[in-house]
Amino acid sequence: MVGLGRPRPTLRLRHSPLPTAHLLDGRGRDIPPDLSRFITVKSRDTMQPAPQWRLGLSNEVLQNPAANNAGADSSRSQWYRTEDWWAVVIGLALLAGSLASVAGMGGPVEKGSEHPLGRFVATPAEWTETPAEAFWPAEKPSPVDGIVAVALVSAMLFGAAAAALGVGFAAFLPAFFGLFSLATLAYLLSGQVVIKYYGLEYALWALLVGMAISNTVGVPAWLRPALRTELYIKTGLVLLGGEILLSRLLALGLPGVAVSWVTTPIVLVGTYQFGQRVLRMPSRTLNLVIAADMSVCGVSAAIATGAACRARKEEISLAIGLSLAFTVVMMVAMPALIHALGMPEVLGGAWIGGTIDSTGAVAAAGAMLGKKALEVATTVKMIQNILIGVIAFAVAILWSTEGRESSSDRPSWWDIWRRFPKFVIGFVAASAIDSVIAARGPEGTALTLLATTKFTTVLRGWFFCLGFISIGLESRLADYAEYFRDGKPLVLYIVGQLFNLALTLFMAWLMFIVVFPDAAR
Amino acid sequence: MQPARGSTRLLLCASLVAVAWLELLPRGAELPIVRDHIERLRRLGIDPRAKFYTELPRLERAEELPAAGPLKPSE
Repeated sequence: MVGLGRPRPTLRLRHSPLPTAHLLDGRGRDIPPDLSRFITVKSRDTMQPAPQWRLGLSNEVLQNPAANNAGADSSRSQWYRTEDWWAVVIGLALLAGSLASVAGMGGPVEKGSEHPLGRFVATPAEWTETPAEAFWPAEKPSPVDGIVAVALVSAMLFGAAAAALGVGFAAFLPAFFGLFSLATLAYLLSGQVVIKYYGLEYALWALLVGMAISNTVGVPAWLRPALRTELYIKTGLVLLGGEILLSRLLALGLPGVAVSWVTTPIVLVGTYQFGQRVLRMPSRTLNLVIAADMSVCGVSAAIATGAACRARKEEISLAIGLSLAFTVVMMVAMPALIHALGMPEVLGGAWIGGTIDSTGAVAAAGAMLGKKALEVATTVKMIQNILIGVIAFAVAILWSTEGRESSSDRPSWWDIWRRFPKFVIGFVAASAIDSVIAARGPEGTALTLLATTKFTTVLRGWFFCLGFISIGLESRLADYAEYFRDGKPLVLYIVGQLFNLALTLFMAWLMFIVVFPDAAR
Repeated sequence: MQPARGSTRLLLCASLVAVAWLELLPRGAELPIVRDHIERLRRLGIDPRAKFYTELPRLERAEELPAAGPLKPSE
């Protein structure tokens, strides 16, 4: 039951699975956070003011009202009760541990060097006939030990965070292992060779597995303590920051840099403005997440920008769904089109690299054209990968600093700090640490790459997978129906992608044919 | 939603997944066009599911990549 400071008879509370909820008006639209202070939510037993029922609300706020960032005192003295800071602590600790173990190996890091902790992290292998091949492959070591080790270490780290956030360790542990089992199932589904080599990654299956449960039998009560979507995703993002080596922005050839640096921001801003001004998208955050995942690098861009602007979970998953659907089509269609048009291989590779969302799909499509196309395509996409660090940081700043009602209502520095998503600090710090180490030369680069690709990258994948399972478990099909009613997200994606295709082709032609005709020769 | 009805729906979902992943997809993997696609990507060490360049083994080391082009414009 909902009561109001002012009469508003059509107001209702949409009951979504804990830990998130949204206040809706009579037309089913979200009530802006600024209005929520006028609203009182009344449960059966208690009546409490409702500023905590707001967009992008994190779990700890619901379970520990003292952790609400709106309270200045709580932000100062109870930082350990926020998921953002726990994500920073866990992410940086794992990165530091990985770097220290590689640095302590003794002797230079060389090609083919094994990470000292590498055997403790693994994912199910690819399989063709039976899922058992994923755990006991014929020609490779079994990943079972690594999977079990990831589960145990993650349970300890996230269990400690959950305990600080007010969830009992005894309740969290079985719930987490249940969640981890579902994440393993998602990896298993994405590991079937046909699924794998057509680019249908685990994020999609994790969402669908979670939604299959939540929309049929519902989420069992014993599993709920482990549903910490933001904690898993933000920890994964901090680890992702460690993979962003800024030196790579300029070290990969001017034509590729020009295509990525010029095209990506123009397409991102242009698509966002089209969504705001022409389509009048009802949600700015959905608009931004779709624009970012389409113009930058698919799923990872959607996650990073979505977390930076505090998008709703279903907005992130919707953007990812759109991106994956178009990625699969473009991965097959673009090489065929480029062949049919008789386009030069290098130009085709640059076009593919700048337009297909997913990094892996870019490589697969480039490989269909040839070796040169593969090199150019992956180079352009790699620069876009790095750009996501800059874009996520910029979005976090913009979203934190903008005024609310008018120019006279500019936020104070304290407001900016309070709104700023703190995990971005860990994200930037991880990137800075690894970039500084990599700047020491080839040995530094090799050290950071071994520390990330053979350890934290695997963990990051598991954390994202846990996050997507949690999103699926917290989602109801009805939540998505409103987005498909007017078709605006789909129109936004298609128009933005057409703009991206045209502009990237022009820039690629300009850079690789006109200005640098010897490029990649 | 009634528990029995929900359980039936979940069971139906699980059955569809089992049929698709254990029967249809293994057969699909044997189609020549699919098999060629898989073999080519395997040979090149490309995982199309990669979300970031660090998940592609061939891109792990930038120094091993050929430059995408000359750093000076041609005459």
